[in-house]
Amino acid sequence: MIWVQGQGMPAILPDRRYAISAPDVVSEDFSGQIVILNLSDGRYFSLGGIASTVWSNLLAGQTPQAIFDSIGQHRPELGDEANRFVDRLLELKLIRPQEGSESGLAAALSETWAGDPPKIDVFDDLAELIFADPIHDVDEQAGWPAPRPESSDSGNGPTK
Amino acid sequence: MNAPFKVSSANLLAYANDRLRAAERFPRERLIRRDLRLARLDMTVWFTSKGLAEICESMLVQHHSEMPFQQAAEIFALDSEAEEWDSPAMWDEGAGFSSREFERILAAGDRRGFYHHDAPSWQFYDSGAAVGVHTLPGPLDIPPWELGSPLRLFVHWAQAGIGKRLTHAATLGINGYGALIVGPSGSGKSGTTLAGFMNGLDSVGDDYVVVEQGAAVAAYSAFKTFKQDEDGLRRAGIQATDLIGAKRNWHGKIEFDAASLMPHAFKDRMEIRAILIPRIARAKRTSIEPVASHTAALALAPSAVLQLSGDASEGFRFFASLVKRLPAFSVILSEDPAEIADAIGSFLARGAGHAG
Repeated sequence: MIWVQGQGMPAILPDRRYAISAPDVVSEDFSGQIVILNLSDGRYFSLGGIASTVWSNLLAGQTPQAIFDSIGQHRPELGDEANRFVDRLLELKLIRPQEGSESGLAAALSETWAGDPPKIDVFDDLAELIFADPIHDVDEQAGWPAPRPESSDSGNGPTK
Repeated sequence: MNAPFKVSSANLLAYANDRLRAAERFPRERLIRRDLRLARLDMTVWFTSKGLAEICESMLVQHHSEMPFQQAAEIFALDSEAEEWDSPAMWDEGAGFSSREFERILAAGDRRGFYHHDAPSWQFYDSGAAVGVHTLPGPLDIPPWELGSPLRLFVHWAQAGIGKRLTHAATLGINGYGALIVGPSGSGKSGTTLAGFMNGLDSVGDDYVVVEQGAAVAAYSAFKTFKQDEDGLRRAGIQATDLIGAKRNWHGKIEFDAASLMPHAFKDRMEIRAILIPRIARAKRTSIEPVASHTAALALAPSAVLQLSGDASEGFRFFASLVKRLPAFSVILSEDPAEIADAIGSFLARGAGHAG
């Protein structure tokens, strides 16, 4: 595994294939615009610019390297941003390396690279529905689980 | 069996099965039976508490049909003040807790569930048999947010089992056709719905409705209550003191019986032709503009999926399909409830985008 210096996060292996982090992560294509939902932490995401094409290619079994090469041919100015975007997908745990049993033929590479640089909008306004769980709030510093400060009517109930 | 004192991931499924079996064995002659005709669903509920039975009957909308609906479910709401019903177990806090893991363990056994730690109480549902149990420490110890929407999760699980969804959305309509009103808390969803409801439009609900996707998309009423803060009521021309049976809910909003307030405007069903996403703008006049389907997906799907535990992946697919079928519009709101109602009413009367 390659690690990005100073960040402690795994970086993309360019020649490896990746899959959506199912079953916790689900996504849907709305006329070329991708919406992703992480069911385990309640965050959801919207992809803009050429991010949707990168995402669709990754899920179709194309390696990051094949995608970067294609972008390099057609939109060389977006190469670095595409690289950072794919790293970000891994950092957000939206994709994971494919297992051996998952590898099959990749679908043809879509090379529709017209559009803005890749962009991912992250929404966490619903995360409370997951983290305000019945037992504990998650406290990454203290370790998990950390007791809730006081009992209340919170629970994992609905928002207002 | 005596309830285990602590439940963790290791014995969660066994505890769920034990409570389901114990509920089905409980002597029926000691229970209060209510047959509820819910939206496309016949639900028989057995209660130990008369008070809880009354809450459920008064809050749930009953749909009248001469024929039984295709789907039936049987639910037991049993509290441990009743003889021979064990106190609900406690979650083992030392074992940690993950909502997603909780769901996954139960789903592996075709069960759904929810734990409310404050009471504590448990809700378990056997999807295959359409049987559920709500085990409570006391007669009215349901989660506070369910006082206005009792049996919410059982309705959700039963509807999901037949391809429909209890959906976190409001509705407005006219002449049998309408729109889902969606958006985050504070976006003006409830205010828009109340403005329309009090000024000539119909609704089947302002918080949760049952949505069915067949040849057409239809929404059915599930609960009789609307909720609004006092300022919102005032803006809509309603005095909180005039509302019969109004109660302040767990979030400090006033919950009231919309079906009694405006019986002619509170409908059982409407065909859904569009998705509306209100935006508080204090504009001079309300305007309605088309938005991309992914905007509607962001406004509807994550909230609708995460508000109700269980069947999340299926829920995401359901709402994605819904968004792809219906045109979506942003509603840039004025401050005048009557003008908002006129704008939305005119829009809906024109065919709401002529969705097919």
